[in-house]
Amino acid sequence: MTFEVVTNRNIEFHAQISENQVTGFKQLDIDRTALRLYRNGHIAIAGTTGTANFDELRKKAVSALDRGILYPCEPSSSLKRQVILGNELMSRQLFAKHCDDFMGTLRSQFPNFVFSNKIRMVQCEKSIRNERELDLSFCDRYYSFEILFKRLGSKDIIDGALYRSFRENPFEGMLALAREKLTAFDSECALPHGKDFSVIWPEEDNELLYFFWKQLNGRQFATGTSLLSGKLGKQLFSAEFNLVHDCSADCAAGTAFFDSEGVVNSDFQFPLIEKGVLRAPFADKRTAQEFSLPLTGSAGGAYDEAPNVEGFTPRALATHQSLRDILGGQTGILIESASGGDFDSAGRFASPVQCAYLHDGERILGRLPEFEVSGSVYDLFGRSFRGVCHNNPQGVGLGGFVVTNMEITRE
Amino acid sequence: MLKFPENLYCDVRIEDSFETLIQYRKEVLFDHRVRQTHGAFVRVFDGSRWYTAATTETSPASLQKTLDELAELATPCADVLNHPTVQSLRPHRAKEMRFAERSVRNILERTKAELLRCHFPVFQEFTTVGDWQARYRDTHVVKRFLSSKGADVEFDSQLAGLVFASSFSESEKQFFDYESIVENSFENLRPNQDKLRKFLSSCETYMKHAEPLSPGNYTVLLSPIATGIFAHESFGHKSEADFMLGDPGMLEEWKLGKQVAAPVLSIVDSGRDGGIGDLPFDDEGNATERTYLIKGGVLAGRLHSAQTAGCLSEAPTGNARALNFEYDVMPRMRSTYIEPGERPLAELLAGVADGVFIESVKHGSGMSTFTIAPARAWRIRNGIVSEPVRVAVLSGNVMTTLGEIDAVSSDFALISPIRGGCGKNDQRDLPVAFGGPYVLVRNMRIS
Repeated sequence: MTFEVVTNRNIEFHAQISENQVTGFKQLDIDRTALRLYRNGHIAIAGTTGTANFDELRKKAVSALDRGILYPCEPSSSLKRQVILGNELMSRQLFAKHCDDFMGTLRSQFPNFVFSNKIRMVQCEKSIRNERELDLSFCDRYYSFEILFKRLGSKDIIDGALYRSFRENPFEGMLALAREKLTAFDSECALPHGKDFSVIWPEEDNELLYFFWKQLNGRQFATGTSLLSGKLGKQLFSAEFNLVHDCSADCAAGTAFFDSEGVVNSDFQFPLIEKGVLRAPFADKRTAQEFSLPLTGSAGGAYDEAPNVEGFTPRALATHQSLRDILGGQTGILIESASGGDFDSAGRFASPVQCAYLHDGERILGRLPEFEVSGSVYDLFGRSFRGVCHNNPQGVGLGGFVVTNMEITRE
Repeated sequence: MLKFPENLYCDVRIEDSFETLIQYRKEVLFDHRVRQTHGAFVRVFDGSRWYTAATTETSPASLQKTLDELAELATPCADVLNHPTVQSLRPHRAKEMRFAERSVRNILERTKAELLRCHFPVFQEFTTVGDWQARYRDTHVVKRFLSSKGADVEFDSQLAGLVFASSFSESEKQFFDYESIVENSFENLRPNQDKLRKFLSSCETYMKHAEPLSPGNYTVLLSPIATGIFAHESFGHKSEADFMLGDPGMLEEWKLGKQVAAPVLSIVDSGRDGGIGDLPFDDEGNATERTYLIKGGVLAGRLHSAQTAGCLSEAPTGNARALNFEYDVMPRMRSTYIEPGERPLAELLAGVADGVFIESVKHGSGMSTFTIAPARAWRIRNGIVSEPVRVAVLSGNVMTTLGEIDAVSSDFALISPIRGGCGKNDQRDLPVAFGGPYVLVRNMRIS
């Protein structure tokens, strides 16, 4: 019998934005604790929010063993590691002042836009510890801009977003980014002629990589219900394309270096596609054991859930130093908002693009009219794949780009 | 008893949430969780700014401490009660505990699991099912809202349901879809093996025979679930009044009384017509109502929180909702649907020489261009639903598409999803219901 404690704490301070102004401040400090109990190939979990009463959690966990959740795997053990990302956050008073100043600048320099939503200052702490000398803890401190904008007179409810996460003081960098985007938004330009263009997708919340989130699920893969089932070891994509399960520091803010089962990969990454060849689907312990797959450290689930195979954080490895290198002197289409697209059951992707910019690799040249993009996944990461960079031309915040040629359909 | 600081508007939303989740993967129990959460969202308004906090410490002393700390940050204002936002907050006093006597908290966990398991044999009848998951989920949420204006309301909401997710495969073909059975109490939830069998059979046919459809514009027949997602994504979000703040042009574009669709079209968002969106009060203590967004093709209303109602000098509609105690409110939908018409489905179908029937949907989105990503879609030929077709996404301009609605059927269904929900900003999976009749739309873009 082994007990394991999982904790998850979020301390946040938000500046709420409405009609171009900071209209409020929100504070949040939510502590979640779960006690896991492993016994005879089963797992039982008891969770709570707020201050944890471990005697009570212990009783609940022991009682929950009767539910009979199968977990025929060993808990992680003998590993102690702590990772702290980001610097000490600024004081709430200073953050509030910076937010006021930031919104004041946007208001005065871009009076034709309406801004809303929020700017967050976050300290996120996660840990997993057990009686088998597992002791992993993670803390990430960052600032997250989540500002929506709308051009006055636009018929849309939202025209675009100023989203970016930073682990350093963010305001100056974000202002430069906002200036570039908002200035370009007012400078309309025509879609380039032709059918195929280099399309630049931001790394974060990448619609294209979502394909792998679905199709490389170890369970789906092993039961023959993935488009990629039976294709292990095959050259499916470009030799330039490498995909990993990534929990490294420059991955999305708030992503811990361990998964929900306490598995830590070497260099915090596990390769799934190497030089275009499919090497492994992603798996948690139960999936890996049931189907004899490599354990990729991709267990997910809420703090009080039995770990499941949904903790995959896909990332394509960099092929180039910069976006300019990828584009090689040509222009590309930077996707700002492409909401609602999907892959069909044969792997063909299509999506309307609500907002996009023409980009020369160093700067945004202007805003493009609405259009649609489409392409088969085998082309997008195959013959049409252009490359990946992990930085952005402004050099601010987290996030790079995935670039691939796609078919463009005008409205 | 809370003591509200003077010369400030203050309110407290206290939540007691209960949830059961039982999940099987191919007859193996994969997870079984019972979660109970207590939390509160505390707000203080000084007429200029809101100071808010989310906390799991809900004892009266802790809430008083949080309230007092927030009040310290605010600047007292003697006139705060006359602020338009505060004016739009109604001090209701009521208790509407509709599910207390039949709460899912009182049902044995074993009984819930048995209801789920009795469906498992149906999967054995289909050899192309490569993998499946079955899930039982229930929630019972009790909320109490107290304000310095004297509001004191307590109410609850409940949902219980089964979800069956199936992955099919045969040689190089794969397909995934899910079916659900949802009610607002456990007693109303009945085994329904026939519904599961029909779903699996339809999916199997679809997986085996679906062929790609050439992109282009088609006449599309939307099923009630597709209609509901269309109403929600294409028009519901655009009716949320926070998107109109600060832009007089937007208000002019969305001027009430404007004809935007054929007279056959009426879209409603209601907190009083059943489904998971049926709530007596919103999360600011305002009473809910049935709000027509479009009535007879004419723009008739929009969805308000107290802030948006106050800003736009309109009446509150009871649409201020938050995902849970960790979040502040914003205008959100409840149960959104298109009202049924008078023509039977068969009559609508008979008029379609060449079109596409959208039976089930993976997801949708709503911006200037709305999208619907179908799961199962079928070609309509000479009034008959024919072969299955593969469609990545269906899209269109909202206003243009409203004008292309040709007919609505007399058949009607309101769907309360137990898997997923509505997403807006960072608040995803808010429980909402949607639905409507079968709707015929011309010139929809299929990609």
